[in-house]
Amino acid sequence: MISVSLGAAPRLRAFRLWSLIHTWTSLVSMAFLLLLCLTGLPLIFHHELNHALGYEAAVPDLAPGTPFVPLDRIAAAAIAHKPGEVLQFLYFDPDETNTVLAGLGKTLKTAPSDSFVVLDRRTAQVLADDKPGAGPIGFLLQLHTDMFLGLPGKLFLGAMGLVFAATIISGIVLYGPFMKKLDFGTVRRKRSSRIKWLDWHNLIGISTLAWALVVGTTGTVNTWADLMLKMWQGGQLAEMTAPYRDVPRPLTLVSLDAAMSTARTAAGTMTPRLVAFPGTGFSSNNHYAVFMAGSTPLTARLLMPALIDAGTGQLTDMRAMPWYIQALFLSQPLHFGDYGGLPLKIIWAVLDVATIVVLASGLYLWLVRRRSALPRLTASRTLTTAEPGE
Amino acid sequence: MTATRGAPHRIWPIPAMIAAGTLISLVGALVADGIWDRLAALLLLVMSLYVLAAGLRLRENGR
Repeated sequence: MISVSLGAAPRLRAFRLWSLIHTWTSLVSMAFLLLLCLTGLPLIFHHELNHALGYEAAVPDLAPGTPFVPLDRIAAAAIAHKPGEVLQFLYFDPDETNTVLAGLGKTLKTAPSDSFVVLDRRTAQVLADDKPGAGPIGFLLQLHTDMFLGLPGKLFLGAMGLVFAATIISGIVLYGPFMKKLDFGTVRRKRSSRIKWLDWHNLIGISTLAWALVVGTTGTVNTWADLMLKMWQGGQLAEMTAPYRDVPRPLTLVSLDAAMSTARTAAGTMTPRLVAFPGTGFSSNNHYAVFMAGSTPLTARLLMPALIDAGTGQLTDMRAMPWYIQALFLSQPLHFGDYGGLPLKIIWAVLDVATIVVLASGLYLWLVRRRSALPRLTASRTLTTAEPGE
Repeated sequence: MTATRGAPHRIWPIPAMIAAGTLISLVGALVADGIWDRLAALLLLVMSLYVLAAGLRLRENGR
């Protein structure tokens, strides 16, 4: 017995509407999503690939426990290596504790920096000297991030991420009606190629939806990074540095090591991740901004700026960053999948390939349906135009 | 679309479990370290293999 329930017409209309949303949101974003998935695949292994291609500094083997040289010496070595440029920041990579990355620019406000110099913390020796975004991985990263179009490119890709989320949600809505009479995992291989690929599309799509939603939405959040940082600079940072608004930059800066020591003392168990120099976009004219990171896997990703008066060496303020910056910090590892070691990276790559299969099979299904619908449409039009003359 | 035959079909339990497992893995690896990272990767691998096996399985009715 087949029973046709009441209210079938509205449900059919809703199904058609969701089907239209699914089709058109995926078609609109398809090319960009394929670009993001394809460029994202090697980016999962950016550390390994940069190392293999010689874009990572080779750190000399020294006796274990070799002490670090003062940071003032590191800063002086970086400036001496790039005459005519000024030091903007020092970054301490938690995975490469024996090195420090120095960012330098033609001016303090130049963003992004003009040069990156990697130095050995034990000898102040320059280990590598790069332009930001150098090498094939740098090229892929920029293509993935903004398609070489700057902020408009980033925001456009962010919008594509939201369209992708609409594709996934409409896909979930459509999955139910499609699977009404099928067990989970059914692939009807003896039916036509279209049916077979529809089943694979549904199976892989529904199985990877949580991962795709997480990676898609965190990718969108990452595209808002520039705007969020501007918001932070105009909000919390401006508030923290307000008493110094009209005070000129000190002629002589206190020792960087003294400033770091003050920040360490104030932040307890936290460790410095980045120090921005006075006059740069991440500080004021009068402060070293030392960004401290927590000691647990989660808090290690959340930074807290400690502002040190560059004239006196005193701590003037230290606060947790606003929620939107914390959300940005957490969305970065969840997007790139580089936070759980090589096994997680490999699974991330597998899921990325699965998403490419879902996208490609969706495009194939649309093309096949369109090809089969065209003759029907042509036939009905021929009949319609023929009718009056018959 | 609205025609139904026989007992109601359970569509959502397995996809919901896979989605929950994925989220637990992703967040677990973010908030913990060491062995938990590997366990998160293992859970994702097991779920991926299960889905692949389900798709490749030949069914008794010849599907």
